[in-house]
Amino acid sequence: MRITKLVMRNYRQYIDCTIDFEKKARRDLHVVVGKNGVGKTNILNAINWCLYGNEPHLAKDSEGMPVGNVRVLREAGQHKKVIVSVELHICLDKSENPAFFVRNAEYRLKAGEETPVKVGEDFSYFTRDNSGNTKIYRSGEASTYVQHFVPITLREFFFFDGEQLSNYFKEATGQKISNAIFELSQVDLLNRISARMERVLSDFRKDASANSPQIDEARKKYENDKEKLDQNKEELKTCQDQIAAAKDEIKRLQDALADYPNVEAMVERRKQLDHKLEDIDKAIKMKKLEKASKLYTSSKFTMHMPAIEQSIGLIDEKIAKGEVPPPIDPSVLEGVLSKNVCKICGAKIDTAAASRIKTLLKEIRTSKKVGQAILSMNPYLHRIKEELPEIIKEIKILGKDIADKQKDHKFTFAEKEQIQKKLEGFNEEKIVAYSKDLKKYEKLRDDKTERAGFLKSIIIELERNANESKKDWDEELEKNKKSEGIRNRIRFCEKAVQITTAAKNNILNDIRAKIEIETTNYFTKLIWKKDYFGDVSLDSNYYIHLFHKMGMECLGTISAGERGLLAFAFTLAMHKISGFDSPIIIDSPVHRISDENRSNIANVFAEVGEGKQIILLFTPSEYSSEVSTVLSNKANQMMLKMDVASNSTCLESYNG
Amino acid sequence: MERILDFIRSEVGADTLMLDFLKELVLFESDSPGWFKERYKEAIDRFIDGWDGRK
Repeated sequence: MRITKLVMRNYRQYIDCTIDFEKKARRDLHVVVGKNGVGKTNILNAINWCLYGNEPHLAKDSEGMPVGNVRVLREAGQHKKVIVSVELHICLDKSENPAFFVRNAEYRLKAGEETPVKVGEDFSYFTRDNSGNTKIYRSGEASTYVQHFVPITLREFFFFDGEQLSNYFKEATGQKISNAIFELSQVDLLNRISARMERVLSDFRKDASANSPQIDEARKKYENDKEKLDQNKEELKTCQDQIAAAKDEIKRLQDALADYPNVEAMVERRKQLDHKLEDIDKAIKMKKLEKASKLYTSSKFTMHMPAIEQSIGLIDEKIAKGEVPPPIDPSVLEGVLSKNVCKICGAKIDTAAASRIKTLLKEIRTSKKVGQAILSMNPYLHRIKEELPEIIKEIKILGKDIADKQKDHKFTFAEKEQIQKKLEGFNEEKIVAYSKDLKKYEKLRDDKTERAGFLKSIIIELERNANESKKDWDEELEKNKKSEGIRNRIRFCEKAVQITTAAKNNILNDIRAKIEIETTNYFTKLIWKKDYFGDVSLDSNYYIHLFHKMGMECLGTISAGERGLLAFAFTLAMHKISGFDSPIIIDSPVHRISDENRSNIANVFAEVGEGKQIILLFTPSEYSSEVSTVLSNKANQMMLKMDVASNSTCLESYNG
Repeated sequence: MERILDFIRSEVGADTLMLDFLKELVLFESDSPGWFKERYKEAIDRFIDGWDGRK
């Protein structure tokens, strides 16, 4: 099965363009080169639109735009219709019997409307019968032929965008891969048979129960046990789906966070540093106040220290000489005054002498008081003299403390600045939200894993119960002669269910094994580090694993380009195993692929192109010498060119 | 379809009657009809008489 021709009319950049996919020599390999914006990817979209009615590879700025060529639609004028059409001509077998799919959309630019409106769309499949008569199938019928060509569930393995390959294992969940494998293997059909046989079986069992109350009781017991078992199995399946979904989310979030620093920890550290800086600022302020107070005290003492020292010297000297307090006893003079007689000569004291003695007494008393005051001041002066060095010492310590705190402040601030610098350019809120989500999904995974373990142990017990009650029921059936015919039917149905279940499991295991082998084979051909990687495997949940030659798993550590090659290998494997002999169309097949791997990938294209049709869409830079050297003699090369005057893309021969 | 029948064949072994019965169901299901119970029961009725349950 191959595409012979693609005809696009009024479709996006293509006003009228036909691409013939003629074989070159024995290969069915086609290269279409086009600069960005000329409509290279829209070839992929045109094929998708024609077959499935949608365009999965549309550029963001084209989303919501009509499929029709905007200029043609605008120039069409009011009420005049424009037909947008894509025809995909195919050849189904070696007899080269022509057939084609065509999708038409009718657009009208209505009065008062700026945007043309689609007023209708139809899809048809044209083919010829053995007598050469044309047969036309429309809408749903035509779509069934698309399912024979490339089923919609498998199209991403046939028509894909190389730019998306490196993200493939980020987006492709185990569920997605298992869906594709189920589609490939058609095991859904066997599941359907099993489920329907179970329903028929249930009817037979009820019929058998009608023959005896014992059988009915045994049936009810079994059905009750089976219901409990099924409920737990259902919950286990839900748990496993939730675990798988959580693992997908964890992988996605880990990948999303892999390119960023540990923002959550950094934001937390920055918060801690902010608090620390506040504390340091407060401590510095307190220390400075304390220091200022001590400086004030010490400055007073320092300023008066010469006077203090001199006073201490004088006082100490006076004390040493016994001059302070003055060694004068006023009682003699007081006696003279009271008796009015001189104690030395016995003469009477006259008024003048008495006055003189009173003055003398007053001076003696004052001198005594001053002497006492000086004596009481002396220890205080000594204390000031002793305290000053202590205060100066404390001031020095405070100064050092402040300097230390300022140094700490400087380092803390520098660390904060460094974190701030690292965080610049990152959407902190988003990344912190990612980190929180990551923790949430890790918890969900752990909780559900625990629950699944618990359910598994319960299921073993319930299975035992159900088997026993089934055995009891069978024994009751055996005892009843009237049930013989139904019993035989039940055995027949059970045997059929057993066979379909076993066949389904074997098919899935077979496909899984083939995918592993083919993916490993293709990946080994594609990758230049051939001695580095070992096998590829799919686990029971259809998650892909890549192993290093030494046995360690390494999918999480390979580069985006290598991941792209692995996805490409997986895609080729799925394609090969699918058994659908349909073409592969790849947009930007070497995007993100390093030069070393480009020639490998080109050789794989050449090899695959011998057996089936491959259409590759490159930009000129992607169609580099590593690729073109391999493909130029083997591929039918074409070039897309935008005609600026008509703003439409046309095809011309490729001349390198 | 052929792959499915091959796998069923390898499971059924020499029981050609069961193989024919399942082949009929596979062909029936590949057309994906909504209605099935009577069709299944009718097929069972046709095949059951010749079936040796011991196989």
